[in-house]
Amino acid sequence: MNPANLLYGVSDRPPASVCLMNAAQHVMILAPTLVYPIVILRAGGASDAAVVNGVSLSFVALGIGTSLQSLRHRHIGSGYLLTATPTAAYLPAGIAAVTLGGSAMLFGMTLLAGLFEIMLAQVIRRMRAFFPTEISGLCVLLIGTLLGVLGIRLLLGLDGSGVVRSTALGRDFALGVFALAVMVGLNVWAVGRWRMYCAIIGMSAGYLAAAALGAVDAHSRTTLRLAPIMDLPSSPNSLPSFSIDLVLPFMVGALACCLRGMGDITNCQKVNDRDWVRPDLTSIRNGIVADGVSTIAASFLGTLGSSTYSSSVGMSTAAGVTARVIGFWTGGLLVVLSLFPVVAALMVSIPNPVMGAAILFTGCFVMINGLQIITYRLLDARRTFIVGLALTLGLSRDIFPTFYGGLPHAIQPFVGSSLIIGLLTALALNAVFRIGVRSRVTFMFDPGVDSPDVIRSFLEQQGAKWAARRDVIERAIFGTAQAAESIAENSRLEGPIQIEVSFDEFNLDLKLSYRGDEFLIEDHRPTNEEIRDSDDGIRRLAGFLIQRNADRVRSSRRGDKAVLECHYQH
Amino acid sequence: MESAAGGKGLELVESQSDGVAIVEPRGRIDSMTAGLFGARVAELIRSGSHHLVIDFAEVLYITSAGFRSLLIAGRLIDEFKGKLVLCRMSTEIRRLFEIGGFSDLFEICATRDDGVRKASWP
Repeated sequence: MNPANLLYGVSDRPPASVCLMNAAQHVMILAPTLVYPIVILRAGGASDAAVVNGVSLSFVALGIGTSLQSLRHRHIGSGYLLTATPTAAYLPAGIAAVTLGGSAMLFGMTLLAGLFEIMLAQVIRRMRAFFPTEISGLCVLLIGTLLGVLGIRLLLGLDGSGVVRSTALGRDFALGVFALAVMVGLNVWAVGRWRMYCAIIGMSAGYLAAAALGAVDAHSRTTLRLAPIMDLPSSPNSLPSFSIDLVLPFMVGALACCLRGMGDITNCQKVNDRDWVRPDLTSIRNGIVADGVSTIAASFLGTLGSSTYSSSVGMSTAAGVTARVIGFWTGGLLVVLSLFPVVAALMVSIPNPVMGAAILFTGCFVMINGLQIITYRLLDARRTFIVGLALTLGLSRDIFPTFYGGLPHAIQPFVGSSLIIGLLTALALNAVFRIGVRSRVTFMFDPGVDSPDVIRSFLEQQGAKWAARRDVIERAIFGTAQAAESIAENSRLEGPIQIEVSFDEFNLDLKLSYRGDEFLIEDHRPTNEEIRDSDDGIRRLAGFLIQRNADRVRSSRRGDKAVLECHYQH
Repeated sequence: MESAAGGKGLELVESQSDGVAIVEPRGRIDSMTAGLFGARVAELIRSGSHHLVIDFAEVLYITSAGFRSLLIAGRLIDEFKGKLVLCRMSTEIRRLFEIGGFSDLFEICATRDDGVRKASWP
């Protein structure tokens, strides 16, 4: 079911005008990431004209990737509106590739990375236990903070180590704050179209203000002036080449894209489903496959590999429009725009503070979704350490860049970003902490004044060890307490009640065994008069409540013991 | 002015607002505590508090015995042509009312102010 904040949900079909405007917004917020293929092209010695041609080719690759991502095919596509973007994950490896072997090497190694990502997608389901929900949430949260840090950096004109590089800090800061204020203001106080198009309006207003203040740099203005209005982009004709030395950096890049895709697709699932409970691994696998194919397409077009774009999820949420059909519109628009080099030049010329404002704006939504996913589950000490340590270590990458930059060359691929550090830490700790957590536990208690507290304490602690859903544990607590109360009063109980609880990600099962009469389950609710006035009214209501509270209930006798089994879908 | 009474597992906090008596059970309403809860509510009704709000904000859970005491309170207040309103239920308590088929039997409000307003109407 669509959440209330969405104007158009994932399966809706908005009018063409809404699709086109939203597609334009998604294209526009790609602007900051176009810097990555530009850096690669310049590292390979490309001219300004070749750079604009390269950006146009990136549009084609991203158009293919975005359209594939929106598919709901059995083998490919997450089925969500989630744009593809050139990614910094391949940047260091990509620069090394063009430096070592030119565009042929970039082609070959990016092709390998795309294939590796598709292979990774195939093992996600089998590795389910190693990717629990709170790690998906951590991934989304880290992506949100990554966007926030990048946004602040662009807005304030800082370099990677936090040193101011802007020559007009006051003007740039004012521009960024102005663009951000327009976006936030429209999102908070406006309704309908004004809210839906807040990002594109904010960026346009920021760009116009920048042009009026002379904040669009001279080099960008020249490139814009010289760019042809319409031209067919030309793709490179080289054959791929490979280097064994570059395999590891590209594989790490592919792993980072895979993890990021998992976080983004999880975020999409949550945004689009009011009753979301856990990541859908089929949609994630198919989305990662789409991402891998998108990177392969990029390799053939001679440009940088791609990943899913977290900002696009944030922007869809902000606009309240997540219809996946807009993914096809966005993909189509990108391919059409590749025929207009002037558009590529215009996007490249958007000043950094305006780009920073847009990224910061979308990052807020991503961050909050991550927090919500993490706190959706009960968390015990193990999981608290997994989330806390991984988050702190991840954030330390942006706070102490000099320290991480000085680490040995061999481990640089593993400390390249806060996302990689945070997720690798979480995955490693999760693997270690799985030791000693049993999936089946038993305890005994004598019904009495304290038994409700004993039951609550036991099930809450156990639920936290398993990171079970809060709502399911609450149902189990009520079911157990109500059953224990009814057994103690109506089943001629002799001795203690034994409770056995077993859990996996999809099932929570409770088994109460005791010496006494078999528990009577009621299919029909007793009438109000029967509940109030008859001798067995309370017992019959208890039998009815227990039946309705669980997804499946069975009462039986095994040997000299009565057994009540309650199954809860998780 | 508030007053409190209770035993292990349940505490009852009572107050008045605009001529409406408010009872706030804190803890669980189960077979151990339903007797105390039901007896106090009945005592209030019989002593003239015919417009009554029961505030569920601090109720951990309610079992079949608790539902029975509510039904008895509801019948008693009907005899005096009064009004009983329940308010501030958590999602979990609201769910229990729904699965037990009690949601439509009682007037349930989101806030205490709404509850007092509804209970004070004839």
